Amino acid sequence: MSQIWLVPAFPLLGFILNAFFGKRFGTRFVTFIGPLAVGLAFAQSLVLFFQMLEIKGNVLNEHLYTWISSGNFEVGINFTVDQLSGLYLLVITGVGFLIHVYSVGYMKGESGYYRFFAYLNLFVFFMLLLVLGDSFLLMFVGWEGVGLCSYLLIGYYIEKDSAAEAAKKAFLFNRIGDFGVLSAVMLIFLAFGSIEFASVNAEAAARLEYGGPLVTAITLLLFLGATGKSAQIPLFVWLPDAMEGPTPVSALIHAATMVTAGLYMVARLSHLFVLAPFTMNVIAAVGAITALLAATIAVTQTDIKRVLAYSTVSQLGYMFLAMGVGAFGAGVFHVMTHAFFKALLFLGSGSVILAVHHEQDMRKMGALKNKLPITYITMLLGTLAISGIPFFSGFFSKDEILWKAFSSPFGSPWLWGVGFITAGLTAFYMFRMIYLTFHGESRVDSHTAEHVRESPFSMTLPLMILAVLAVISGFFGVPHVFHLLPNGMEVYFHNFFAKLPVEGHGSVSTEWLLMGLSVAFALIAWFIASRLYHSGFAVAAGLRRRWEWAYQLSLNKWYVDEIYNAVIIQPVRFLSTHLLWRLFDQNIIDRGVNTTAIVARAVGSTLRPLQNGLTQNYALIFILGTFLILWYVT
Amino acid sequence: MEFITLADLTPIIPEIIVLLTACIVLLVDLFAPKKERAFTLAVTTIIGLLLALLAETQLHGKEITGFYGTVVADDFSILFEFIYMSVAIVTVFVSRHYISDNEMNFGEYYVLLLTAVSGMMFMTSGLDLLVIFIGLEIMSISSYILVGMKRKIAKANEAALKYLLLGAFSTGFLLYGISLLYGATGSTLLPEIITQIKLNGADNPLVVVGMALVIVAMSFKIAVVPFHMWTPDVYTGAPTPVTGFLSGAAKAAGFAVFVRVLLTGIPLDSANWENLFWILAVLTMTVGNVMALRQNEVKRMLAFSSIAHAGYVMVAIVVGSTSAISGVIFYSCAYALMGTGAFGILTIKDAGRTPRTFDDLAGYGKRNPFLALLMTLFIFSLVGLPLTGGFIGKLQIFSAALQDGWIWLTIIGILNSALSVYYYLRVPMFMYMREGALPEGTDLSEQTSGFALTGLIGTAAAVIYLGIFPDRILELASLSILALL
Repeated sequence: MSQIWLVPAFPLLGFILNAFFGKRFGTRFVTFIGPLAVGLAFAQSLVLFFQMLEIKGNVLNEHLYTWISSGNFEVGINFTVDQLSGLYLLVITGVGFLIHVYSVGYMKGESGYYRFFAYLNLFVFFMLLLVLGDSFLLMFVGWEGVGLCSYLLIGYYIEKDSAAEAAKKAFLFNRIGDFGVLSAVMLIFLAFGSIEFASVNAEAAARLEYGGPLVTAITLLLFLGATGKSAQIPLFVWLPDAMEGPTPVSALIHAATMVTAGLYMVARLSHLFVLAPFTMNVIAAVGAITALLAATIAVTQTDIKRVLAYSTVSQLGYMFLAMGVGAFGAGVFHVMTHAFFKALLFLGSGSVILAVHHEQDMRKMGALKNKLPITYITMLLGTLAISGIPFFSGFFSKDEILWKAFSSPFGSPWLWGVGFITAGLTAFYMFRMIYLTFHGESRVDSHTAEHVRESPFSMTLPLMILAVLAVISGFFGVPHVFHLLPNGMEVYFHNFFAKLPVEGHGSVSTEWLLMGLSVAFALIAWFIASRLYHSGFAVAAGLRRRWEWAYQLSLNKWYVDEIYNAVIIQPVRFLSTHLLWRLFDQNIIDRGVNTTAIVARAVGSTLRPLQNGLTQNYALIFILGTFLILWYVT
Repeated sequence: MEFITLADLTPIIPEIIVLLTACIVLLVDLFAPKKERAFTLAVTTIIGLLLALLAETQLHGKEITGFYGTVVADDFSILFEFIYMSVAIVTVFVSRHYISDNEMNFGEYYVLLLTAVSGMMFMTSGLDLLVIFIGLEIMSISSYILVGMKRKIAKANEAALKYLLLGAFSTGFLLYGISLLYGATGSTLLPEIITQIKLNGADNPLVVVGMALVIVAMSFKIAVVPFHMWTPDVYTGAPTPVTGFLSGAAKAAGFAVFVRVLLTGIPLDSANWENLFWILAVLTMTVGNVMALRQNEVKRMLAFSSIAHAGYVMVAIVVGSTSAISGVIFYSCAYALMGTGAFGILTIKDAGRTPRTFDDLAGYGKRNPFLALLMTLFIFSLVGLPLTGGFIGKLQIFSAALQDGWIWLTIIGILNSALSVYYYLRVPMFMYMREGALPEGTDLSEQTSGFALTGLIGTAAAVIYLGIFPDRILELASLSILALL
């Protein structure tokens, strides 16, 4: 027995204990239970992971129980650990555990401490359901569950209006995506008669025509769901606002785990997606454009968490680019390395924010590197990783994606070009953040400055561990051209993902050339950032004046929120008031309802004299009923 | 002629235990010290019922008959008797404080509860129409008194009197029906009647009229429209724990007889019978739901809705397939639990009074968060939301109806179910979204009795259990039916 169920059971138990007894038993109890629950889940995940590697076929299945079985339709709870969910398990519980430990320090003294840990445990539970389920049913339960937890945690500071607004926005945008997923699941059920991943993947090629309208519709709808959860165009605008939640939440939910659920779904159904070349092109294009767009926005943001939020959107775009060109393994590889370095960067930013008394504006930071040495060094390592500086983890995973974007049959030089520019921008805005936060002169107000000190050990330890992972995890998938190690990622995912119909092209020398170009570009971007921002905003201000329109465009996020407001929200509101409310609601529904009410009332008033409490009447009806029945049956 | 031996007692051991418990409770009532009397009575009753449950488990799978084949302990009767006793136990749990608050704290209360249960048990295990009749009368007479227990409240007296009069009325029909069947077949034993009918055909007018009258009498007990008129008045006037007991257990007993007589009795092949039940099912669902829409009193709303639930079960009886009849058993079980649970919440004092109208529930969620949660669970189950017993019950019934091609019946049933969402969800809406305006100086410090809470938590757990692990019960149910046919 592999006991997969234990993995989600621990966080669920943690949630129950924290939610129902956390308030009564106090902070120490919660501090103990919250991280422990996820730690145990991590331990069990490790055990399962190695079991899965050893077993033939690399799949562990567990049938927990059958809920409903009627005819040939059976709904049950089945868990599966394979190469994909095994990796996700480790990331979710491992990074999740570190973030729980970190939260102990970060959330200290907040009101509703127990509530925070209860939600966080619940989130981990749902996230585990999402990746462990063997069918759409369980995945969808997890999908909705993480959405709910995300909503609750974004709105954690209930007294802030902006937090409530952000939570609502995230919820609404995710609903649009969920509509896509649900519709796709129904189509899949019609086409396959089953909603199990294994049978969908196995029978996809046999049941669906390559490039046919049905498979294209299904995959596009699924991708719509993915853009909601994973914050891609057109549904990405909720993620930056989600930064209203506490920073550990941003690290866990809005960087490392939940937002990669969309990618998980695409990777899980790779055999379905490769049948729809049109969808693949859409995914690649959306991914690339999102990556670029978000990176251009990140360049001018001054809120440290917003820089990271746009960076997350941009990196997720990278991953979708990988999926879209059929490099599923590379995409998942980047999910993993990104989980490490982005969680690290978020937690580091949290450490900074806590040190300067909940100030998130980089204009009021600077020169913190000596006061926060551990935070500085770990964040610097994270930045090196995300910027693709050679031999840090991001270098390997990003380079793999860029190469595939160029060489894959679904790829093109254009996609590579967009990714290449984005990579440079990434290095630029990340180093900009490092310089503005840690270098130059202090812009922290003098009163706060006296109290700045390094965060407690419970916060710095996760930073250090994540920093180590952010540095080394790339060696898991060293590209072939290095001839150093076998590409661990490819060995690991051997025969797991769908094969592309055509082989890729491209020579070793081209790969070296492209790699050299992107490294050079990243280094140049670093250099420019250091020139512009090593001493605050002064140098950049001159540049800004010359490029005011571009600056405004970036600062205002390409006016996407405003465009949505003008193009969607206002027309919808107009339609709602005039067409739906005035015409449809008032004239049709209200009249319908009123008619029903009138009919019901009429029926009621005919019936009510009967129901008048007089026993003789009741007896009379009884007799009449009996006679009617006798008349009918004889 | 054989004589009755001790072995004949085996199938009715649970009944005997229940009746003995009733006698013991009477004695305890006399001799127990005054201070601990209420507690001792309740506990004695529960222990007796648990012992009877234990005896039932020993009879499982054996199918023993006794007394010249007039009573039987088969899996079908055991399953239903489990329902009655579980409901009775929950009723005892929620009754203890309610009856002392309402000046009806007599030992007789528990005695009557027990005799009513024993009556239901005889109804279910009876294979002879006379045994069924006597069981039904034991149950009915006990419940007439239970309904009128609040002696000083005019409404309760009125309810009891109405119940008695109309009940007597239906008893007359039942007896008349039995005598006609006896005249036609020369026996009151069900198996004998069946053989005779099969031999001579079902079109003998005596058989048809006799059967119709038996059905009318049973329809009265389970409140099928148009024989439902007493339900709202009686359910509203009765003490709330008794209401829960009646809606959960007494109705289930009615269904048990219905299934036993109809499925093993008359062959349901002539189209007229099917059409008749079809009409009755649709009427029952629709009238129950429509009338529930406009109620201001929660208890009265639940009373009307219990009519609608009987309608859903009637759907399964119309369909009559194995999976539909296991739906009857499952639904009776689920409804018994969620209905008793919902009525049980209404027995608990909140802000100095037991909640009566919807307005009384305003702010309930803030005052009693845990009870509000339980109530929400029961309501969700009554609506039929997933992960509750109510969902599985409806799913079982409607999918069985679809399988056998009853498309219109299914559509009407689901529409009705959708209609019920409207009035059910008003309960959580009032509990959580309305601010309650309480009179100044209302005492909010009152603690919910742990006794009642235990029963309600148990009920809630059972409702969830049925929703998450329905397989075992469904399997038991379908096996018990196979034995029946």
